[in-house]
Amino acid sequence: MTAYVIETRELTKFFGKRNIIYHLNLRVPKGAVYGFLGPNGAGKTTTIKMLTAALKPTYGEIKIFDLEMPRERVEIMKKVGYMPEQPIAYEDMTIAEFLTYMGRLLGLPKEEAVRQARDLMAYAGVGKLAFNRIKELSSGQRQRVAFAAALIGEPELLILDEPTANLDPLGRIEFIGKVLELAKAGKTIFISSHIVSEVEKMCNYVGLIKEGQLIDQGRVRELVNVEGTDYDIVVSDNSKLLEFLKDQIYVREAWEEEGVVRVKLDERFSERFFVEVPAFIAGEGLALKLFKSHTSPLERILMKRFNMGWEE
Amino acid sequence: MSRAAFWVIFGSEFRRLIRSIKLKVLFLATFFPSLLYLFNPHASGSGVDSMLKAFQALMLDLLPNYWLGIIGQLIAIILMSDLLASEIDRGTIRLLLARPVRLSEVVGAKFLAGMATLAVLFGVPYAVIWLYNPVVYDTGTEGLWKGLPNLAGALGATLLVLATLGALAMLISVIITRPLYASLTAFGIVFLLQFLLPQIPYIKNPQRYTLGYQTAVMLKSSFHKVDLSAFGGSPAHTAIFFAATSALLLVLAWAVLMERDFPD
Repeated sequence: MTAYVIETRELTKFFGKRNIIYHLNLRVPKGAVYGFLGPNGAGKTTTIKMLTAALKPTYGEIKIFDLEMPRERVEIMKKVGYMPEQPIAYEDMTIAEFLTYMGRLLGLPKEEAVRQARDLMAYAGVGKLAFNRIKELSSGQRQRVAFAAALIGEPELLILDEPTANLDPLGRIEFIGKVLELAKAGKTIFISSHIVSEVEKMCNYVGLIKEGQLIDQGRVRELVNVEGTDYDIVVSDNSKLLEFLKDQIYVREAWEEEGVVRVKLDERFSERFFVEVPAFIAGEGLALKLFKSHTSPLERILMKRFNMGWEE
Repeated sequence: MSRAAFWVIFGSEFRRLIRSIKLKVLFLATFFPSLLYLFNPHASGSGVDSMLKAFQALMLDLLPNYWLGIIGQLIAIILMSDLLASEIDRGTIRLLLARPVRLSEVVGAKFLAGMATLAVLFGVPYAVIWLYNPVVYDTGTEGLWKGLPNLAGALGATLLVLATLGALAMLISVIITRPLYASLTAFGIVFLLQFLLPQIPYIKNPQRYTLGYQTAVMLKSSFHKVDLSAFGGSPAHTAIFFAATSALLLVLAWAVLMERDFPD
């Protein structure tokens, strides 16, 4: 028994002569919230379709719960909840009918399927729409129904393909909260996304995919530590600080934008920046209101890794 | 769990088909001859014997020429093509693949639901004639019971022929997954075969290679009041042929499903 809930070996997919996924070796540990990050067209959805048996690998191996996909699909899917990229559902069914049907297909007795459907409709925020037909719903509401369908049967592993794509900003915040709740409950969650900020909030593991190849994966904090070169600073007198920065060797560029001093550093001398700028602020008696990197650690990793790829 | 999934899919599919507008439209087509019969039964005498003779003669006329003619074949093909093609076309097959359900159960349950729907579509018009006949021929309940084997024979032959057409339509619909194109292709194949096969030279009695002819052969087992001696062949052999062909086509449909990708 491996420690990984999802493990692929040399997973490869061709469509005709076109190579979509190339020697993918995913490792998703038990209990991880794994963000599968990459730009549009990188192969995220194709990979997920192979994980859920909608596509067959050209070659390579997929193991989920140590069982082989697609050969042991039926056994595997007893413990998996899947939310597709496009929230597909049976259009003529009501939400309640659809969720009950999904539960019944898992082998739940009718009463239990109905109970779980009712609870999950409330959880996903579509409780009041229970008897609306799916074809009458907005794309955001459909997404919520798809999320509820993935949760029915209390699966151990959730595979979510671009789960926030159709949600409004409030819906996204709500969704992130729910993923964190599920993670706390011990579920393993595999989320594909191209929205870095969301992955950053939800995931403790990340896999970066570009042009069908896995560039990097692991714990976010264990991935290559990439120092930021862009910083945002706000002090009580921005113009004074700006004046100071413009003469420094470690500053490539500095300007003020909407009340924030933006600084681009020359990496070779960046250490001096962290010593001299705080000293200047303290020496001048300025009040420091903000001092942070302009990009998040994950964004920096992505930018660095993807740029490296382009240069190659 | 496995058997439960089969019946869950069957139940859901059967309910969907029975509630659909399509079914109501198709029912108008299948019920039309019965409606005409209700208004104009043309009773030729009275008593059980006359009733059975009239029922068999009517069925022998309507089954090959109407209910299992072009209209009936089209109805079966349209209905059965949609069962798997719509799942693939709309992408909902991916939801089924993400559940612990075997594809053989999906194929089997959908086929059975389609057949149950066809049984309603064709069984109700047949049953209306069967129920109405004892009134027309003044036979009382005796006529009802005596006519039952005829009804069962007609419905059985109908369902066996439709099962074969349905299974062929399902096989084509997992290859050509647009329901309309799948229906047209299946109908084209069936029509072409029935047009071409009876014209094969140097084969004795080539007209037997039509669905109408073989339906009459199967009716021989329960229709004894009309002369069916012109239709050579064993009802049991024909029935086994249709059942076996249906099973083979379903297995092929399942095998194609197992091998294919579902990209969208």
